[in-house]
Amino acid sequence: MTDKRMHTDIDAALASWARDDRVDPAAIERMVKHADRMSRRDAARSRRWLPWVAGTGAIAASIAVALMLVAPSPPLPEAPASPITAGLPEGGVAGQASFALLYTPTSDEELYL
Amino acid sequence: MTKPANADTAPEPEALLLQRAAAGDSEAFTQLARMLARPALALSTRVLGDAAAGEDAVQEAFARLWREAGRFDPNRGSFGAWWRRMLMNITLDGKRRVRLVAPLDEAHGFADPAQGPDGHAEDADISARVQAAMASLPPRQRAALALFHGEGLTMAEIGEALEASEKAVEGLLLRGRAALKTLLVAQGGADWITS
Repeated sequence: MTDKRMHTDIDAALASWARDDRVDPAAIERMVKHADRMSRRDAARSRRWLPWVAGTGAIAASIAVALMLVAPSPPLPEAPASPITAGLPEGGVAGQASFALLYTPTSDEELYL
Repeated sequence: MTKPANADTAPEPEALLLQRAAAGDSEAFTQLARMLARPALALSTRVLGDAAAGEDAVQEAFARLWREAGRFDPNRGSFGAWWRRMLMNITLDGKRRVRLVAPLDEAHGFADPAQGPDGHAEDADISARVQAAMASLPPRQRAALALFHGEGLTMAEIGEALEASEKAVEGLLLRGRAALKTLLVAQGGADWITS
């Protein structure tokens, strides 16, 4: 089919119009160069920032670790008083044990009771 | 233009280049731009009716492609459909002034060396008339006609590119074709139209 015959109806004319990909080669070159410049510039920029970002991150992590090691650990929470020792005076576990012993009657004392 | 959506399951070369570009490989992006430049410029120029505006649109589309390279998900569709949508979105952006004067001179601007002198003048004349009439159509109608007749896309694919329903695309094509015919007849010298 010749080009002339292809143009015999509107659909053929439309197809010819739509498939005509003749463009200015200089425009193609300009666009590709523009894309190349843009991507190279951005890639170089991100490469330039990468050491800064990585270095800052490493320093921040080091400081955080150092603070965790140096800072005193917070005191452990006290255990709630048990009902048995609630009325006993303070003095630690040993003190509480001797106080309980003091008021526990021996077998001889129990005999009188 | 690139392959229609879902043409095959193998990864598209463009998608592979884009993947590398997303990782910061500027050479891959330049290679991708070289692959896309010609069909993209031809399509944008047809839709806008102006070569300079078409070039401007494609450059902007390349900038967006570079910025959003990491957002492409091959599981959600082909690269071709994704890129076409991006390009059409920018080309049909309301900021771009569509030239209403027919670029008759540009129809002869880049002669096809394969075509002999016989018939060239008549064909070029018809192309110029079609181009001139096309300049009077709304850009979305031109885009639909260009994608349908030039890229061979389905209604669904055109709808995806233009962010419109299949019914709307059908309307764009019918109205565009009818308006073109009316314009060509009104111009005179359109005795070659048989349908």
